[in-house]
Amino acid sequence: MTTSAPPPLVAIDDLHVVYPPSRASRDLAGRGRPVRAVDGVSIEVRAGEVLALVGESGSGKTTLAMALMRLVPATSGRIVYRGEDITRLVGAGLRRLRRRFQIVFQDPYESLDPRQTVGDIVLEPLLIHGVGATGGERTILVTRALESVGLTPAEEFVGRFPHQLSGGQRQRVSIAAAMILEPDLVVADEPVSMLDVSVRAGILRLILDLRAARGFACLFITHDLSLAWVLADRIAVLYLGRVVEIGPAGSLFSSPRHPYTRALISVVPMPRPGAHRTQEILEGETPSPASTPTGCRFHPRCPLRRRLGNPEICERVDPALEPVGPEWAVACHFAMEEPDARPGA
Amino acid sequence: MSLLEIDDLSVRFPTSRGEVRAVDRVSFRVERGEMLGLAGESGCGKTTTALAVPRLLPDAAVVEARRIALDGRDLVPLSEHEMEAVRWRDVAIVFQGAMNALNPVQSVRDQILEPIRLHEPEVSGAAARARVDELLEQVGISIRRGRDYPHEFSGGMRQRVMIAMALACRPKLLIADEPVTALDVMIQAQILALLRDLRDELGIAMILISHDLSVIAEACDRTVIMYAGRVAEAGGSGPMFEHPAHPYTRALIGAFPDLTSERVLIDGIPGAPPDLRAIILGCPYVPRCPLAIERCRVEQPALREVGAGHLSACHRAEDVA
Repeated sequence: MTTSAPPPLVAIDDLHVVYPPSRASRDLAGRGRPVRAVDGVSIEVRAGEVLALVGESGSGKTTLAMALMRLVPATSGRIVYRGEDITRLVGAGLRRLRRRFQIVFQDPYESLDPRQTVGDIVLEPLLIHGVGATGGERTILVTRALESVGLTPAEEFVGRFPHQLSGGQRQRVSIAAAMILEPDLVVADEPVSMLDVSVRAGILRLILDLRAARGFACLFITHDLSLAWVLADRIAVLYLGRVVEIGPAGSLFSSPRHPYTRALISVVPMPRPGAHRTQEILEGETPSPASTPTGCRFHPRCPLRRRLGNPEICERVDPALEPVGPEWAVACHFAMEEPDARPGA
Repeated sequence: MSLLEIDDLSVRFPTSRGEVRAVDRVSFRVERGEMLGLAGESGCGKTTTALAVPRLLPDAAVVEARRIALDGRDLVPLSEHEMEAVRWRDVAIVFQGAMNALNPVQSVRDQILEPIRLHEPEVSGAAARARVDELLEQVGISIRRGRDYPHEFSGGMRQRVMIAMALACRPKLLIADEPVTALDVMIQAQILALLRDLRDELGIAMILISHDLSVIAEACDRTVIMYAGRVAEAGGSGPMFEHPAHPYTRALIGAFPDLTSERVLIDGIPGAPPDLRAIILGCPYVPRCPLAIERCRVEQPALREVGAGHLSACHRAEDVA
């Protein structure tokens, strides 16, 4: 990054989130392995950008976002928001921060209180943060918020309950409640994965349109690299609590450097002819974050390592994120091997 | 003779606010050793259609069919008792939501063993246990993990257990209802590869139900697209996804990013599927269709051949680009 670049909205520096060992994993003496859900992540979120966090279950993408929002405590490392260290913020300071960061959850069937009306759900953040001088003023804000997410006319929706809405409409209610405090950062955690394909585009377009109109940054969490590709400005690929590749969405997708990114792209299903390209299906599943492999954490499943005859460095040395191009960094000892081996091309 | 022949299947659900016509005169075939995809949005009747084959619909369902023939034998006139012998042994199902479908207090081995005990009592204990070992191996679970319980498995591994259970009585037809929904992409690819391998190895036919057309496109030889309880389009997956002959199929394809093209946001399908309690005169897709003309509103399009083995229920099939 050049010195003229604006300071990031949020800068995360060497963040670790370690959960104590689960009860099931402990031995008779009560010893167990702690779970390193986020294991040394440094990443910036820039004002107004869409940054996609991509990874499988257990990659730490959701924990990373939750730690950033101060919803789970960081074990070590620093989170800096607009120049202020917020890692250990408490009390009134933390409450002020809560206004600035909002989240849209995956499942609109579970994230909305079934006993609250749509109007009350969207009103609640205003009451919690004491926004709006009068009831009348708050009603206007609620109406505007509902109309901004396409629930028009708002009067038709305020009195309804979540069960009277479709999945897409529910997700719009979640978005209205997240937007009403005009946040700087919105975390969208798999916001369309529970929705029918026919309504996904509408929700994604809404998020992009609102972002364009209001300039908030969006952290878009998904396991689907193809959605990240069409939606995000930058993509960060996570594996076992680490960023293994980060870069501009277009270039990362067209010539991925990390063998894990390549494999993820090769298995994106497509309803298109010519979709039957060479898939690189990785064997097994992501290991538990309670037993991270030595060296490069991807080495036991890495197809590139196998093709290179199992170089010893991969199991010995943990690769750092190194720049491979403008704004582009990869954590792989052999990132420059097979530069044009784009799966699916 | 095809393995499965469904002729004019209709399923209605009487409700207090009128009758829901969930499936409306659906006909299609499944060939031996074929993977057939059944696709469409939620509520289009794909699961209802498939569950009518092993007669697993709720009691309230009114099912009518001219013929549902499996391996040449018509299942429609069979008694409930006779159908019990068809389930598991001839047709088995992998249900959606692997966690909820497995028994949490029974080991995985015992759950795979159960259908063999119940439906093939003539098989000895030792032979049944040997078959469980073989099944575990076939679905890629190490034999020693058989003693574990469902909660000790990941989502992908539980889905493998479900597949092993479904294969326990060596059925001719496997119905997999959203088998990879809610799994990560890499695990999805693993499970789809497993299903294809099992098909090749065992020669078993499969109906794969999914709302996700991309999953169907990756796995299935032929695809039936359903809309509002009817077949909208059917044909070989390759030609159909290359040249869709129904605007609904076209729109479903457009709901996925095209990785071979420019980076543009996906398209949605405006509107919603029709209320299936209403009598629909013309084509049910008219309110959402960019190609609809007057004829579409008044005349229900019949399924007609638009290419070799390629059927479309659209008056303007030739104009779908």
